[in-house]
Amino acid sequence: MERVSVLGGNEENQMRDVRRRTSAITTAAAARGLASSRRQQDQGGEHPSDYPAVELMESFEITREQLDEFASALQGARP
Amino acid sequence: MMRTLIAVFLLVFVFTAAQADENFRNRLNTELTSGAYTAEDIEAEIHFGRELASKVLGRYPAWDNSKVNLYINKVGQLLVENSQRPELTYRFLALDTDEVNAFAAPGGYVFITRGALDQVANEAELAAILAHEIGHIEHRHYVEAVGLRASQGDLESGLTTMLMGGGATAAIAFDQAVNAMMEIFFETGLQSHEDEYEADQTAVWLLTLVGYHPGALKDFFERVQSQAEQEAAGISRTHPSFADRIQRLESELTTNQLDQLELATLEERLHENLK
Repeated sequence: MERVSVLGGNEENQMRDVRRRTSAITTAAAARGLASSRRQQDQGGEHPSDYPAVELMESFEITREQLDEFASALQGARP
Repeated sequence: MMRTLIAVFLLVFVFTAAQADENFRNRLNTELTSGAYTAEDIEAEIHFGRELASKVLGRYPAWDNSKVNLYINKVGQLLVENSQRPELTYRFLALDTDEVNAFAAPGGYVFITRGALDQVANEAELAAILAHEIGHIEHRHYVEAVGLRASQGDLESGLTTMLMGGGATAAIAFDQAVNAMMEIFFETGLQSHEDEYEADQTAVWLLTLVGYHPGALKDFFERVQSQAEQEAAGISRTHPSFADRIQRLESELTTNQLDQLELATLEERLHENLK
């Protein structure tokens, strides 16, 4: 059974374009957040922070191939 | 009978997909450019979510288990394939605590506790918990809860504007918003129970679109409700009752005849990766 997607072919291409375009927003925000976070870390606060753990969280990357392979177990189950 | 059910489901699916497609186009034309949610709003959301994630991780340590975290990320990314917020990069991490809970910080930061992972019976239930949290982010529940956006018609007074502007006022507003979110996470929950029901509903459809058992979230709630009152105290304190959520989920499943679908649960793969 074919992979189910909310979007059709053209829309998927559009989606990829949007992801590329908006990745600049994400990157800028993450960079801004990192700098700002480190400043705030020095100042302390009501709740303790763990920025290295955030960087660990951001380090996990799944390739397209890995995800396709992982998804294959669900392909027969999709309606 | 089964043919009829499948036909009905496909009709609902096609309608939902078309609606989602339309929503996507609308967002593309409005929110990412000059509409209600600007690029600055999104940047502020990610910035805020990252800070909040650091606070969650200051409270509960990350579970230092790369196999588990990689697995969670794979399940999460499958669900995100159907996200209606392509501007976000979703990230997933397990927290090393016995407490049964999960959290979603704005901007795409999703957490699930080791206690919750101990309670899930199969991969579909894990996906259900992550899908519920993704639902909060997709619907911007927390963004709305702390007013993290430029107010319509009053762009100068929005928290986003203050955050992007920097300075002492921004720092104070930022800290207050982070503290308010920590209180929502760990003490009060979202004021609107409808937000929780909406995230549950989103989870049902995300599960179905990916190919997971649509009733997985209901199954998980039924197990947690009967087995782990103490460990699940956090959820009970900050969320509507399990009974109400189960009832709503049953209604969603039966109304759309999703309860008739036999989709994947993948119990074995969960155990290979978690147990």
